[in-house]
Amino acid sequence: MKLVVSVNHTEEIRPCLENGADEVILAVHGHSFTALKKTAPGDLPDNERVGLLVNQLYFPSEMDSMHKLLDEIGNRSFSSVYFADPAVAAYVRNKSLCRKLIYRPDTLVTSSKDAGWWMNRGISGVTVSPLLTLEEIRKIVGHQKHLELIIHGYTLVSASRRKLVQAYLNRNVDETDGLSIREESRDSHMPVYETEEGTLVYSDQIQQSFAYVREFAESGVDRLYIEGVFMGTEELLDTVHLYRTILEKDHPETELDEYKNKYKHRNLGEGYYGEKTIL
Amino acid sequence: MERKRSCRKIELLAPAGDLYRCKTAIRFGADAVYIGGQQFSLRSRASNFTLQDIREACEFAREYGSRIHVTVNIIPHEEDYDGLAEYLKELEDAGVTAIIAASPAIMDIARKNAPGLEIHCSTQLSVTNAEAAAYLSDTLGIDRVVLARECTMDDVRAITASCPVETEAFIHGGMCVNYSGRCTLSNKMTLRDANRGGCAQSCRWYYHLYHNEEELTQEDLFTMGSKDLCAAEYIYDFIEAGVSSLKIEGRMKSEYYVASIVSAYRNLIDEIEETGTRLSEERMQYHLRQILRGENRQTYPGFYPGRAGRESLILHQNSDLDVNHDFLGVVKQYRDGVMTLECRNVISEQEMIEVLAPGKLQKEFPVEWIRDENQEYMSSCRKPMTRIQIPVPFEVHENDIIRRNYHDRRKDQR
Repeated sequence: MKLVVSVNHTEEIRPCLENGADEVILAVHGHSFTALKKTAPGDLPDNERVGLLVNQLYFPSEMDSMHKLLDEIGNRSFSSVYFADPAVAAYVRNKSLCRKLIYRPDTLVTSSKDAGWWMNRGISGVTVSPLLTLEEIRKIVGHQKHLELIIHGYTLVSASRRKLVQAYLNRNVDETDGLSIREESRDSHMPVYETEEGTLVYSDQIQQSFAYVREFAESGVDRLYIEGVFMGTEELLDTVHLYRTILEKDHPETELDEYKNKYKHRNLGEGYYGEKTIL
Repeated sequence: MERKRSCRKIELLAPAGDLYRCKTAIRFGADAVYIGGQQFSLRSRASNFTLQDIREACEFAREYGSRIHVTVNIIPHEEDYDGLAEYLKELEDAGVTAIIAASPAIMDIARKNAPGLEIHCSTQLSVTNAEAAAYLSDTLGIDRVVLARECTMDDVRAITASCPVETEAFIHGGMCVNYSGRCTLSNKMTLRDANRGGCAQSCRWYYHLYHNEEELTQEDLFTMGSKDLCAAEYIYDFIEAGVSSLKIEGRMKSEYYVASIVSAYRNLIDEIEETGTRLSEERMQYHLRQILRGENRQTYPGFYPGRAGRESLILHQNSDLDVNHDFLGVVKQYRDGVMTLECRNVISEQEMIEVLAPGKLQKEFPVEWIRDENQEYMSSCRKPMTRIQIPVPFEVHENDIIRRNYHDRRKDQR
């Protein structure tokens, strides 16, 4: 089992590893759709405990760029490569890089059968949708190994190829941080991030798994993922440290209370763990 | 892998939410109709077909040389596989041509249990390049891929040119503003699962926009609704690119929408094929007008011209166009120069009306008189579902549509 965390800057790699992460994920500029802060391909560090987020959906004119990146990555020592486009799996199908692939299609894997189908392609793992109840997660994990669960962070709610805020304001959006929307009948804000790739909207709540992460680890989940989007370095390190403590210490209540007190201004919740979606 | 390429002319694929609309779509010229069963399908509120309905739809389609595709396109949870293999076999036995699926596991089960069914990969998987399509073809044996709606026409051309399976592209209907399958606004706001048919269209709701503490909201609140797609002007591009099927979205839409949109696209495609040369601008504009007559929302050609921007979005209150106002009724019988009409709107003496019939030019005529079922004359009928009689100067047929005639009706919706 690995505790994995996505970071916003290469400077956060070493502190996260020192605070308890087993692996750190960097988003690659031009190849990561659902990340706010990205690293240029030329600046990727060689590190066996660094994985890459390459979850772009590629259009025809971008295929050469994808091939080039995958060729470069294949010659280096990264631990894992997250992908969402089946074309990535196609390109590395008979290459060693295939064994480092983790399928991360946001919401599309909600059953052990779908996860199992992807695992049978020779890849390393599959990220299960964060929209599942605890019961659903337990069932899937009971039937399929090599899964990853997103245990902490803002959940991506929607991803558009259109620049929605720019369209609405009818000007370029210079505000890269701090944008949010609030539905007119609700009080909570959903963070928004807009880039050249489009518009991302995140949940109003940070999903946390303090009460369940040990159960997940003991049930055979391969990877427990902390999403670092919208987190400053201090919060990121505190979060990694807390989960490491929960995983290794029988009674982490003190550390947990300290964390909750320090971050009481954050809207922490349990996401969909206790709420099943309906039709 | 040997490339699969359809030898058929370009397919016009229409939506239908129930058996009646399915038959309407077929009558008005759909080469294929996609429908949803009561299980395993998105648009759960538009998935009303029992297996018996599906069998009847297939039989009806066969009479017209048409085909039925059934959506099995949910993103399944653990409990959603119960009965699936049996259901797929029943579809195959009923004569269904293809299923549209988004889950690899479902596609795998279909291939193994109902090998006679074509497998069409849903737009929910957001396939945006030929390599992804080829991979799914190799690993799952898919027969067709429905391209992501974010593809430009250049993308459609490039993908179709090197795709080992058929491609299907949307040409008309509702557009999601977000990547299909990756939007959970509805899940978040209402717990209704967009990936299992429960989308509440929360993207079209109204929001305040902030930058930190500062509100950036303008006079109209922020919304993310997309204009509907109308890409009729790209018909030649689709045909020349080798796209196999043009898909109309709208299983929730009315019979009138289905009839008028399908009929208009049918006439456009048929005229192109019969003419053999490019239609004049005047003829294209005529067909565009006919297509837009069936629309009650603002439209835009989506991503086909290029990355969709401000002009592709509904930034203000929805259009107040009410095309459904045009729809007057459905012919139930014709005898001796008189039709019996099942009225759906107010219809009055001396009003100019027209007939929308499959494969025929619209013909207009004035309402000379109206009689009710007791042969009593009336100046107008105001009660929907009432059956009335109206004289017609030419033959009409059961299920022809009657609507208001507006020769010069123009819609500037772009």
